[in-house]
Amino acid sequence: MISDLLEDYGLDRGRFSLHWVSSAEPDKFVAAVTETTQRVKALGPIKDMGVTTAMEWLCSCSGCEIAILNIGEALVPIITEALDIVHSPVLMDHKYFGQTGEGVELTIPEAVVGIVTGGVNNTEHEEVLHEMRKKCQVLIALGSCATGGGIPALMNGMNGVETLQQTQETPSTDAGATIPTIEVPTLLGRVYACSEIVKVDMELPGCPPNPALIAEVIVSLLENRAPNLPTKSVCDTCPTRREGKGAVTEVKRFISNAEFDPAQPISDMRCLLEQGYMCMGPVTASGCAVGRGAPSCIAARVPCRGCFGPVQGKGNQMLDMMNALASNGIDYSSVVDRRSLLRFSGAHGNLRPAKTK
Amino acid sequence: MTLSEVTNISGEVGNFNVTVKEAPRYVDMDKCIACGACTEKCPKKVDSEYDAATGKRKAIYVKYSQAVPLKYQIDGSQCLRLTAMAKGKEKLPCGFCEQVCDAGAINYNDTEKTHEINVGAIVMAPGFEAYDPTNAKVWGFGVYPNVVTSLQFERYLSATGPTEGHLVRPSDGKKVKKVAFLQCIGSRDENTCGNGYCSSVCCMYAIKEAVIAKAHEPGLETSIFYMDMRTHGKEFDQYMERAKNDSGVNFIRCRVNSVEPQGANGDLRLSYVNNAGVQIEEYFDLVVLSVGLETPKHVLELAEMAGIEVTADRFAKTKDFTPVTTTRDGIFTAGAFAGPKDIPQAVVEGSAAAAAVADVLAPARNELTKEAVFPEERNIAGEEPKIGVFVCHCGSNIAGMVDVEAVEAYAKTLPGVAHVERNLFTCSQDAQEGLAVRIKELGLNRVAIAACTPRTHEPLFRETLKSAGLNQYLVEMANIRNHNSWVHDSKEIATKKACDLVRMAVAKVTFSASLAPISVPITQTALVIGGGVAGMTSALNLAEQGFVVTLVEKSAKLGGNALKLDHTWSGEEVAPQVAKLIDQVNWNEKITVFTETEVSAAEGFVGNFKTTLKGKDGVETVIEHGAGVVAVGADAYQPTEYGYGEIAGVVNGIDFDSADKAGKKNFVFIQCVGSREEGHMYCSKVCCTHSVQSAIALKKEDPSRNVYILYRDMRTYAQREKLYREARSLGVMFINYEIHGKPQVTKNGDVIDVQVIDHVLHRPVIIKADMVVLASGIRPKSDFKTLSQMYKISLDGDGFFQEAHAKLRPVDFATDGMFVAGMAHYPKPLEESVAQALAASARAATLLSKLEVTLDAIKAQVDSSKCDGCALCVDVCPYHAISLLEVKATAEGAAPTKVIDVNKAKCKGCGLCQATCPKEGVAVAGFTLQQLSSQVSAALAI
Amino acid sequence: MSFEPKIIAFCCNWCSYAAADLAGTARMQYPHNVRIVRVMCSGMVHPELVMDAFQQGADGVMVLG
Ligand SMILES: Cc1cc2nc3c(=O)[nH]c(=O)nc-3n(C[C@H](O)[C@H](O)[C@H](O)COP(=O)(O)OP(=O)(O)OC[C@H]3O[C@@H](n4cnc5c(N)ncnc54)[C@H](O)[C@@H]3O)c2cc1C
Ligand code: SF4
Ligand code: SF4
Ligand code: SF4
Ligand code: SF4
Ligand code: SF4
Repeated sequence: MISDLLEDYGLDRGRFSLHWVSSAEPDKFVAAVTETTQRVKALGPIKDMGVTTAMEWLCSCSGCEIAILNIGEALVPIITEALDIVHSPVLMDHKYFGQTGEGVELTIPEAVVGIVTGGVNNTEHEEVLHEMRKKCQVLIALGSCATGGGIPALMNGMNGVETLQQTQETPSTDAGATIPTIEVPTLLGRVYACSEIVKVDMELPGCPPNPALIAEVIVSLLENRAPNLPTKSVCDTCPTRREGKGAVTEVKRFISNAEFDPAQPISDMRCLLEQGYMCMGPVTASGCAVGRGAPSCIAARVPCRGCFGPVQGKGNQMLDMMNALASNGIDYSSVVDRRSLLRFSGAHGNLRPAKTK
Repeated sequence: MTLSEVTNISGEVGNFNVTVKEAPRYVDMDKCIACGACTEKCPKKVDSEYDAATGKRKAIYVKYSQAVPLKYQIDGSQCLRLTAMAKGKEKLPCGFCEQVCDAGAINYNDTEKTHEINVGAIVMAPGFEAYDPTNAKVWGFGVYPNVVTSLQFERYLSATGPTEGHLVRPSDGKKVKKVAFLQCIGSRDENTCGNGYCSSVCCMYAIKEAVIAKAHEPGLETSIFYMDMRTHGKEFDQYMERAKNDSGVNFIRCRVNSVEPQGANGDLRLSYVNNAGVQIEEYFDLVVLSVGLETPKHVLELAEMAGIEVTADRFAKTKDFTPVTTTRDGIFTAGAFAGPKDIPQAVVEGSAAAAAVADVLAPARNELTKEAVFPEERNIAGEEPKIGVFVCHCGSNIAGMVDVEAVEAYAKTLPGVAHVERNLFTCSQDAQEGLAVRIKELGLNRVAIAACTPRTHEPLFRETLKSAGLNQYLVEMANIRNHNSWVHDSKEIATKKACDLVRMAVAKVTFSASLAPISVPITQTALVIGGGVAGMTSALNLAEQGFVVTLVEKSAKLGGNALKLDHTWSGEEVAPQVAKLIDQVNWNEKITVFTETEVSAAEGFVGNFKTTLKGKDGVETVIEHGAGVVAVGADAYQPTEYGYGEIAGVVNGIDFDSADKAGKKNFVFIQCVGSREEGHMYCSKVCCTHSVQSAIALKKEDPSRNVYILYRDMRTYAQREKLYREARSLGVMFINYEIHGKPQVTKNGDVIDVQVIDHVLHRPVIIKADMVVLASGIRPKSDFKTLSQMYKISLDGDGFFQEAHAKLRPVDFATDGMFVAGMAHYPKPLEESVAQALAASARAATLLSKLEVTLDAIKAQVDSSKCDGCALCVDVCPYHAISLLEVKATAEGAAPTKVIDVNKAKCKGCGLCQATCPKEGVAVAGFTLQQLSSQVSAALAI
Repeated sequence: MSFEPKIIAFCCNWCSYAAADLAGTARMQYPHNVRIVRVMCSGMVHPELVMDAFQQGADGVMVLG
């Protein structure tokens, strides 16, 4: 009966056995124990309710979580069987200081996998991230904010104090307004990527990240293998026609459409950079194209915005792009607000308040 | 052979016997490492010839710091010990140099040697001597200390010169505020010095010195006093315009006849007539005499001994269609001995002489060349780095300032270092052998050498590695001599820096990998584009050296512009020579001529070009060739000014030659038509001489004719000056005009009125002319652009083809395997076109005589795991070595991706691609980002 | 002690590196703060290398062509 029930619970019936051994039969005992141990060993550890997973969102917009939902049908078995979500403020109520607020320290339950979205902007984010690191065996930074600061890190390009004064203290806000000091966690002065604060085991950029890749990361973890992620730039999977950038002299703003024949496939369209538009493809990690054929922006016949951050996580999208333009004899000063090219990767010290002349 | 002199030449072409006397150097060339310790100790000071007597050198010395070979020598007439030895003294003084030479290179007992050499042909390039103005007196040279020659002045400007680049007066060391340059000193002047010719180079160097001096000393005033500014070379006029307009150099057209002193402190007074015709007296701190070139006496003796004739101006006699061939069979000439000229033209002639020699010696090529054999190379892939560090003392050059033992001890602590050793001279024969032994016995797989500069010594150490069976690219040098011990004077600092440099070299070599040599096969045939004199000469020379040549001519006829010329400047008839050339080309079985044919497409690279020719009938032929010569000539400018084509009697210089002049009395030549003005700021080089020749002919035919030449600068350069002299003596009138006061030409009944401002009378004069001859210039052809794009060869700002380096590679293109000759490069007279054509074939033959070229392995390598074909680097490559390839998708249904391919034969390893790529998709082997950043990290590690 | 900056100089093999060699031959003295990294062309220097040098503590970086 037990064996049958075991199977109902998804466990192997072989994990259970009955033995009759009297006190005078040590040899029988040894044989039984040895045999069971071997059998259980062969069966491997029990896959219980699923891998415990903790999810956190820091300085983020929840777009990444929506991207997880966008995994679609494949998500159902993942969250019902494979994963056991033990903590996820975006999905379920779970208190940091105990259900009744009795605790004094911020705690998150232990989990095998931790998924963090968003960058680190204030002391609370910092504390949460440290706790996640402490409690999770494998920590995944999901989305461009977590891997490179993302849009919020655009503030790194400005003087934090001045900005705060401007938004909180100027007459255009409430008269006599001051920068709030209580009930609000203190800002750190700039936005950090998770890996700048704690050790991160895996990074999956994108704004939003590609659901197909999120699925791949989770599945690879479950299958105990390295995930199969793209390593090259957006251009790698871009089907456009390329001949060289030498003919371009200036970068145009994208206020008129690129040249293409809508009846023809993308492979018929000339590379957008070669058409003179600021396509960030060459300096942007690919990923958006997986499962879709062509990079998302390019498929829409729009230049790449750079949302996956730098290739292989290193490099500096603005510096590399400006350098490549200059090498090609393209007037890099024709790029309007070049620092905005760090719109997805302002952390890691890439974007700093400019030295005013 | 250096310090050697030819004393006799006997025999004949193919079998000359040359006697060479080699003077003793007293320094063993194999041992001397050019450390200079000896010079420092030598007590005897002598005036330096190289510093043009502005500075001192020692009795043991090296002539100038870039000398090749860079070896010291003792001046036997000055050395204290040698002079004592010569006098047979018992007790010999000094001997310091022997004591300080760690290399043991000094040999006081060296003696003069005589060598007998058997050769097939001889090239005489003994060069020139600068005119010495001492005896002429008028300019006060040798009397007033502040009168110097241009050579001395050049040394003053040099940081290695006697005043370390500071411009001060020799008389009292006062800072110089005003400099005057006097042109044509020892040139164009038969009275004072007997040199009637123009030295060709002085105008340009005077401008250059004036510009550099002004850049050196802000606020300095410079004035150049001249008769004609002869800046007829490529891009020279532009340089002069910049000197005038941007640098503010004053140009004053006046020959100054004497220099007077003013007061006792060294000021100098010049009196002259300024550009407005006013008599002026002006004071200068320094007067620079722009001295000309002349053939030294000993060269004339040599010429006589060699049995070759010289011209009235005492230069080697040559013919215009064989400009590097002397009057004696088998003896060739090049450089200033064949007539005054600048560096580019001298280099051209050097190569041309080589071509002429090759033609004579074609059968014997390569008989004497040998090849070295090396052991098989060890594969070190996957091995942990086992680095051997060799610290060189360089005698006391390094060890004197660096604590080499401390460096040795330090190197032992570096990661990956398996062995450290010090050598007195790492580059010496025995140290090299020791190094090879060490590599083998310890199984070293990388070597770092802390010594001198890789620029001179890396090739040597690479050979050593090769001989030890290690890939030659596994060595790295730390320059602890030139960049350290020689430039710092604190032992502590120099030792610390040496350790840093060693650490950097070790860090870099750790990431070095074996690189396979690259070789490309050569198709041993040539294509010559353009069938003018230049193209035909080049084709013929190559064919005579044994190469198969294809000659393409656009028009129906070979000959080009030369078909319209009567005489060369020296009076040789052109037509028969051109006819002969055409005949030789047509009958040469190695040359295939395509007329009415053009190049329609081209691809490939050095040794492996593929050119498509398209005939008038549309038939295409594909030619495979290893080298190409572009000799497409240039066009005569068709004037639109001065009533050309409207007023009967206004003709251009070429048409004038065949025009009917019977009964005509008054002739006006207008120079620089379509040259030397906005948009065409270059000199067409041939028109002054052409007009002067025509004028002489007119006067000779009928002395009662009135002939006027309206000119801006008469550019009858070099030995052409004699024509100018002759024209003046025949009564040809020369009237100077300026660009802003061009002559006016109007029809006035039967005659033509030419109005011009006379600079002597300072008012406009009107000349009534029967014929007006426009010296119209030379223009690039409209289709140069297409050719330049097809072969990826560039054009200069004026639209002519751009050579790789103006001075050093005047017939090569930056694109290997392609060469330029004739007017396609720049306007030039026949004999210069011929010389350049020969030079181009010499250069092409050097390439074609090989079955394959081996290239340095320092080339861009693609990492296909990182390159994603974004094409950012494709157009960046200056050598067009990068192309984009499509890679078929590996997975079913996936889209194809792209990746770049680097053509190793075209790549020069400049690394522009590497610096452009955001993804490390491409890197120059030996200088990868990893290697460079490891060096940076090592440099900053402490 | 006075401030002794660390300066990295990328020198082109054909131009500035040769010039540095010649400065040595002429025994010209100059500050010892510079560490030369030889490159085949000054165009070879990736801006990342420059930034990298600053990040690693260089006080100045020179690219000499
Ligand atoms: C107006 C003028 C006056 C001159 N006066 C003198 C003078 O007085 N004294 C003197 O010594 N020199 C003079 N020269 C210079 C002299 O003519 C040249 O130096 C000499 O003829 C050598 O020329 P070349 O072979 O380089 O070019 P060219 O004679 O121009 O020959 C070039 C040939 O290439 C052919 N060609 C052009 N394009 C192509 C193509 N795409 N494909 C195939 N073939 C092509 C042309 O048809 C032509 O046959 C003068 C030149 C000019 C234009
Ligand atoms: S630059 Fe943009 S358009 Fe061009 S290949 Fe790259 S991603 Fe495609
Ligand atoms: S290898 Fe050593 S001995 Fe030879 S020149 Fe260089 S530093 Fe001097
Ligand atoms: S006429 Fe011709 S050669 Fe004389 S200066 Fe003018 S362009 Fe030069
Ligand atoms: S090497 Fe770099 S820049 Fe060039 S195509 Fe590949 S990825 Fe793009
Ligand atoms: S190293 Fe220079 S020459 Fe070679 S492929 Fe790159 S850019 Fe071209």
